[in-house]
Amino acid sequence: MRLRDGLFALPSASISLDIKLGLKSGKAAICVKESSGIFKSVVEEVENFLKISKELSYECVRDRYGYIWFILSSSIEAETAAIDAIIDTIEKNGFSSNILAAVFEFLNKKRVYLIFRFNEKKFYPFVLINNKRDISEEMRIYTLIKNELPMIDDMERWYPMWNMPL
Amino acid sequence: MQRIKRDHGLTARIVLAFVVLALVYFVFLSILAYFGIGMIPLIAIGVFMVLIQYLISDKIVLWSTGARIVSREEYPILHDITDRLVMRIGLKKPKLAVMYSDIPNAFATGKSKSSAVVAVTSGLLNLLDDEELEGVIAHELAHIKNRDMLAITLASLFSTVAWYVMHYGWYGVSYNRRDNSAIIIAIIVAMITWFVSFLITRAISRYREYVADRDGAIITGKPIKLANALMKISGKMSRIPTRDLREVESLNAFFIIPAIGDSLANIFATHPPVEARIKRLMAMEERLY
Repeated sequence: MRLRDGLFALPSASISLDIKLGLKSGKAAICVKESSGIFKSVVEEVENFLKISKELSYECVRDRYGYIWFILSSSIEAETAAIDAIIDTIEKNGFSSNILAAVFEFLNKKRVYLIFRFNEKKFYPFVLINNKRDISEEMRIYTLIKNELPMIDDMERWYPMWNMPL
Repeated sequence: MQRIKRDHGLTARIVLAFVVLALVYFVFLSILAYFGIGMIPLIAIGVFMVLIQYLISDKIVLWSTGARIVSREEYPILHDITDRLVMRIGLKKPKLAVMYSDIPNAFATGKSKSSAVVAVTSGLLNLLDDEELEGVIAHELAHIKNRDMLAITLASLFSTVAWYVMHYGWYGVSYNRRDNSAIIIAIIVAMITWFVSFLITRAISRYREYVADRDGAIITGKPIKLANALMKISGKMSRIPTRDLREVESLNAFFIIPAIGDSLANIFATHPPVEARIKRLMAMEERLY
């Protein structure tokens, strides 16, 4: 079993989130620390791959922390597959330690994010209601999907990600 | 008396009040014995005093914690929340009291459903939002509805009686030299009774705590809110990070020991009381969907 398999459990878990909480999957993104040298060509390679993918549109954004975000809009299946392919490309070039996390957005009145920590291969929830973090909603999401997705159980490691570009 | 969590300061004050009372009894009964009052009337007086203590125990608790009964005008939200909950479960509304303390806590006390008091600290009111407060009040009301104060009192009656036998038994040994062996056996039996009933009382009280969590969560229909309240009260909520993942990650590059590690307590994997309670409440939440 590959470590990244947790990522592929996401499309079915997203169905539960829709049925139980009415959350519709939105954009997805992967967040990678920028480096010098050949990292530039890796970014180009990823962008070339995303350009030819017909089923998704993408955006490439740099944030103030020095991370580069590839933001994808498509079905959650296509987004998950594309993120897996991006991870492959980055790993192949020896930059796997630069990958921070993949983020999946789910929307209704709230903004729910499932953050996939790349080095742990596990998810944790991050919820914003009117730009305020809502821990009780995060706990509810955790409770509802912990049987379907590998989750980070320790809430002391549920780090927020503020002002994400997606 | 049933508290929402262990609070050593609060416990200490109540225990101190009752210990002082016990000392007063001891001195008083010793003086009576010194003036030649017999064993049987002495026991009768002792039982009478314990009975009185039971009857005014809620007043002792309120007095020793400094809790003050508050009106609707002073604490409208507290009263509104309680009104809604008692209506839903068909319970007579208890008196509401507030203690001025920064330590968040709450307790219910009283001998019967109709003479109960629910007390909260000002720290609790400041810390919790309305839904979380509702969860805590519902937990306390569940204690009242389940007559937990009576259950605990009855369970601890054995240990109280045994405790007195232990004390006055020794007193008998020194004054009644003819039949010491029987008294010593009685003291040993009393010691065992006291110890066993002490353990049983604690087990019952732990169990009643889970039941009150469950019933409280059923009353509000929001188990996750009581779980949240418990996390805030126990200080676990403040350990959830607020610093951005990207910021933390870049700091780690300079630290020899990473800030993210398995050494930190895992609230879902470990099972001390608060964690176990939160876990059960989250499982209840899961079943709601």
